[in-house]
Amino acid sequence: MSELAIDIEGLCKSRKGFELRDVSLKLPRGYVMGLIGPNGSGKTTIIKLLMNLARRDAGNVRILGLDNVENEVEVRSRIGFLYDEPCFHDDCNLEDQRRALCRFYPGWCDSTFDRLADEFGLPRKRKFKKLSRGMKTKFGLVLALSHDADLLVLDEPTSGLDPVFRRELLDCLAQVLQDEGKSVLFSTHVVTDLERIADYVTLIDRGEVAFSLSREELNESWGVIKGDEAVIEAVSSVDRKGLRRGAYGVEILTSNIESARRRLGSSAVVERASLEDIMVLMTGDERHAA
Amino acid sequence: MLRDVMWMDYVQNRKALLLNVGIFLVFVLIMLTGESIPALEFIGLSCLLFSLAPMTVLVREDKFKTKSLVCSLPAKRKTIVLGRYLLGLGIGLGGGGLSILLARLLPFSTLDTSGLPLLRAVLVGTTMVVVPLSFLLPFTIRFGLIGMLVFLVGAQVLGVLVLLVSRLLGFDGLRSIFAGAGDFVVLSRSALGEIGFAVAVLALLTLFATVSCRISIGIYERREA
Repeated sequence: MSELAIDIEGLCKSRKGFELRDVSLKLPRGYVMGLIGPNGSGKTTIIKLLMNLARRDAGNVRILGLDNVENEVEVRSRIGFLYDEPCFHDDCNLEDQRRALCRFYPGWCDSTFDRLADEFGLPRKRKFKKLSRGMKTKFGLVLALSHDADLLVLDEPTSGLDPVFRRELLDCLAQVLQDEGKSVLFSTHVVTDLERIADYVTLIDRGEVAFSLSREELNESWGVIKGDEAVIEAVSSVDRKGLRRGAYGVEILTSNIESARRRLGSSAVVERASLEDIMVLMTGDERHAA
Repeated sequence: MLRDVMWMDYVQNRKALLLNVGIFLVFVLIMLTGESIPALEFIGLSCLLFSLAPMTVLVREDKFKTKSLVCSLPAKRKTIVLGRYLLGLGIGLGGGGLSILLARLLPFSTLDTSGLPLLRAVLVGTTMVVVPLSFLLPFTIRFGLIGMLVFLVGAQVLGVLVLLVSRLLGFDGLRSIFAGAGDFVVLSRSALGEIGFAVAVLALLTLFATVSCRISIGIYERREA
């Protein structure tokens, strides 16, 4: 049995006005990976390629040790998938949706569906179109969790949700993950969502993997330096991952916070970088200045 | 898996399918209560009507943008398309059968089915289900509701144009083409015998449906969800 839930190597896909270049990433089983990046960076394309909803130009994708194209049916039966905008037949009620879809999954469990639907407060006789945006997402999540999937692929599950609903959804998700030890790929541009649940973070920028690291490593080593123009030269170019000029000076993203602290002493403010800092500084317009 | 696909399409589109079938049944009843028409024409028209019902599944998939959901299920796209062809055949032939049953059972039916040869009825019914289905499904899969409408309107406009042009030019070729086709059927039937002719027609229909199905699968597999 493969130790990797997701193993992507050299994935390429080009379409008009966009190119995904040589994407490689690995997610060990039982862990949560956050796929972050600005809108249009290629997160959804990676997920589509992962699900074989789009055709790759080059590269390999192995899910739970199986090629995702050759073993399409088996791979999909082991994935719980939630699209960014859950699309179901609007005029069908939730019970009918369950009846229509449950037969495809060998591991489908009605009692899990019922339990989660009750926990999420989903009215099973209500038509899909009568649900709020958040309820639609919850329904999609309940379906994804009801067939004992080994891997959950969630594409922007929290986008468009208000903070209260988002927190509730993340709590539910965290609880399920804690209890059952599933692997999760969670794409989002709302990076604060990942602070609580992600073990690994992969940043996608303009169709390329900017980094794919454990959150522990990011928390321990990455920092933001705030100071004047002079601090730019004080940070090694190897460690410098991003730069932003503002009205009050510059912000530099470094991957070696300890070294920056030693070099700069009290001449600049050095703080730990949040995921939001990392995304903004690495994908902002001035990143190349670094 | 094929059964699961058909079941899914049925459950998700049950109301729309039943509504279509209901409307077509009203047409059938109108045909049965109006001026008496030849039984074979009645069967052909009934089957043609019912064969259109499964387009609903594809049109609704387009409308609700559920292709991404369907394509993310653990089923090959080939199976999904095949399921839709089978659903279409089932509803078309089932509807044709129901129409014959109504013609026989309803006391007010003006249709005389007493001398109807069963084999010929089956052939006409099957042809009128398979041919429109095989033409329309690839169009609907590729272009959705708009594609189907464009195809139907285009076919009508083309027909009107051909009629106009042939009338303007005084060319009676259309009539001779149809007459020629009719003669060919009669000739083939007498040459092959009733059974041989039926086998040949069914083989042709199978080939036609297979080619259409392969085209549809190709289109559906190539489209990104």
